[in-house]
Amino acid sequence: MKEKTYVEDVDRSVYDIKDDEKNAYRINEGLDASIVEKISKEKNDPSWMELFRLQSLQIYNQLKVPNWGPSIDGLDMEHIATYVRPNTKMSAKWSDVPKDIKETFERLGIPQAERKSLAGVGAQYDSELVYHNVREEVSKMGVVYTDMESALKGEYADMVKKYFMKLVRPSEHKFAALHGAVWSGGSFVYVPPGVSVEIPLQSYFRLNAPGAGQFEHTLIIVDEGADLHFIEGCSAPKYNVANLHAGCVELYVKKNARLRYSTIENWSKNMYNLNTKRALVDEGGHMEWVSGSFGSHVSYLYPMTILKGNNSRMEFTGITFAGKGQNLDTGAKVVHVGENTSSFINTRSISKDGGISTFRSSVVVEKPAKEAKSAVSCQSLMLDSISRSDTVPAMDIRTKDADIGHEAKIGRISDEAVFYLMSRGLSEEDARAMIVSGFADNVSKELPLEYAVEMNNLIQLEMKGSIG
Amino acid sequence: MVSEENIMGQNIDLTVNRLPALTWNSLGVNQTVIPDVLSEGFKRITAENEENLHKAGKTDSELWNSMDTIPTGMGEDVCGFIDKDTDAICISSENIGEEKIIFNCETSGDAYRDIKLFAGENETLTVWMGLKSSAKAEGKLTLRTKIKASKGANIRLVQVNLLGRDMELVNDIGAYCEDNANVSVLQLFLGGKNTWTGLKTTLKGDKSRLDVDTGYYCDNGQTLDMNYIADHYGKKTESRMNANGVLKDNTHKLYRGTIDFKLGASGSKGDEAEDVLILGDDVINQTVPLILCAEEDVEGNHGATIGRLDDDILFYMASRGINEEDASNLIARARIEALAGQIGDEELSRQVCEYIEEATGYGEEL
Repeated sequence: MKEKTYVEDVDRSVYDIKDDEKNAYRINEGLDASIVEKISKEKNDPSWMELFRLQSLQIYNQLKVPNWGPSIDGLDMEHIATYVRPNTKMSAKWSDVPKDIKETFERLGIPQAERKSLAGVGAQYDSELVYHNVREEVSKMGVVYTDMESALKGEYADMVKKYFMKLVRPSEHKFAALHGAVWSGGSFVYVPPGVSVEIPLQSYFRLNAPGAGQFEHTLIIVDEGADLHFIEGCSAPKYNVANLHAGCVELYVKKNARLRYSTIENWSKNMYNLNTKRALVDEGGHMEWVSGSFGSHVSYLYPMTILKGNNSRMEFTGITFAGKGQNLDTGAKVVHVGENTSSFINTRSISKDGGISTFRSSVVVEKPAKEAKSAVSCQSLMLDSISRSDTVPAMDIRTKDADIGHEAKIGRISDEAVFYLMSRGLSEEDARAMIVSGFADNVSKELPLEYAVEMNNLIQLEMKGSIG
Repeated sequence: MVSEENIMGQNIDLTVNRLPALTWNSLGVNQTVIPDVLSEGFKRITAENEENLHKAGKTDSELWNSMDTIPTGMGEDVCGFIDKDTDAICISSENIGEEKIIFNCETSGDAYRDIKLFAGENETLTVWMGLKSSAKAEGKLTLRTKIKASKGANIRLVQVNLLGRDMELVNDIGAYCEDNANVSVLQLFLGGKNTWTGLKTTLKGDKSRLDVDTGYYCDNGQTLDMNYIADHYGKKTESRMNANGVLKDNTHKLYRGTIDFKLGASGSKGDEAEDVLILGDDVINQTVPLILCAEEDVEGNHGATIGRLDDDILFYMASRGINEEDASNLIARARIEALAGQIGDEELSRQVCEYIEEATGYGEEL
């Protein structure tokens, strides 16, 4: 049977194109105080940040790697360059971005998406942003969307100092400490009270250098009654050496504000993705996560929401697709503190070709969280018996005035469903791909159209050749 | 692992009820440490009715010794020292189809006992285990039960914890099923101060099956720490694990339930569910239901419902003149009595009903 056009249009090589390294600066591999000091100097940090980095390094050296989750034995920090500066300065015009880097982002569709459907774009290449721009009408509303380094030194320096790594502290875990020590790049967003940003902002993170780490920091503050959709995308070409991504995302959703944070993660399959994301939601605030995890060799990714304010709520919608050579440990965490808070976690995971997918979650309802409601639903699909799929949820409920529900299912594609589709003329491969796409519908319907199409293409691509 | 010399009266901590797949340490659910398990005076307890038990002879020692290798839910720390004991209560379906064992801790002190249950091919064995103590008795009762169900055999174990409030229970069970064998376990945890319990079932044979029904009622500072594991090895194996309980003031309950589909367990199914009714303040309820899956052709489901009484039930009760507190007690009692009705031993059922009536403050007038 002829493949559908949109399947033919997809070419994974778009993610795998490697640019020659033309870095202006690549720090020595490994991690010690001298390297951290060099990064701080390169970035011309304020003194408090240099101290913060060195303190984080101390914490990093004291903490152990987790005794749970996928093995990260293949990650050797002695062979990771924690800072690689591309040979360009940040620009607000694509025409000023060096040709090879610009072409990479064009292949990934970023400038086109900016013209069509985004209010602002930040594009990071290795350790630094190479492009950052926000539409004039959005900036006129008072919305600040800039790179973290500019925010750290400019008009918003005090705000950055007040919020930076206060939600995710370096002592949280070893890779949060690592991030605190060597972070570079990322975005700062501030949406003033009452401002509703109608179209999304996007940051795209591209790691080109082999054996390097990317440690971008994203700090978003959505002030009272404001509304924002932020999209994050990431990819890298595949190398034979381990790459590391240990980013950090801190989100503050103020009173009655709403933030949707969407991620399509498609790192290359040599990547260790040890990312930390956390949101703090005030009274009446609403946090929405949409998360698609397709890439990486190993992932530890569990966006966490703290429902601090009364009547605050969160929704997490996620999909994980683990293929050959991948061990993706993903999920979500929520802590209910305020009264009448609610959370809904809805995930799907798919394992095939020897891939390992683990859904991990925690729902904590603290004693003051009276009238809290939480529902968790996770469904896993096993496409063959050389793969693995685990669900590891945990609930900790400390009030009698709560309603908590949890359900999980693991299974295979129903033979009846495949037979039904084949009786209507589809090949077995197409029938299975269609069922898997439908299975992932919970996420794709939450994404803007362009991203939903990209995600479905990724699934189709992963499903090709899965029969026989 | 507990070494032999530890049995000689030293106080040691046991690490038990380890999750088969670990998660965040900060949640405090990966395993549990029981302090001071082996205190001075730790001794083998004799069943109240030991002289009348139909214990199997030692002629088939190879069979009984082989059961030592069956893994248990609480883990090696508990197995380690009880394996040294040579006087287990061994009950075989060849001798009797039904047996009731009563452990009554009349005096204070730590005690332990090893129990082995065996059913031959296509035979049936039902064992009731009642755990009691005098009201003033203090100490830890440690029980380890190994179960082996041969081809086509059925073994049913019923355990009822009615220990006094100063007693603690360490209750470790391991079960092994051959082809077409069924093991069913009914447990009611009502008494005692702290209870640690674990059950691991190895569904080795094709079409073997496990059913577990657990009921608990915790109040006034009680703790309950559980670890249920169903390891599916055989084809078309099935497991069903249900827990249904009530938590009142100042209690802590941790439920771990794992369905583990091993590679090759094609056509297997596993279901687990927990329904927790929280009726008191200062409660900690932790629930960790795992499904681990290395086989494509399986179905695994788990569900958990945690919280207070449904508004519809409260409204229904209120419309009949029953206030919220009375309605809560009535529902709590109904949950336990529903399981008590399945015990199948009149005396134990009656004792459970009496206990729950006293605990909830309701007698026959309702």
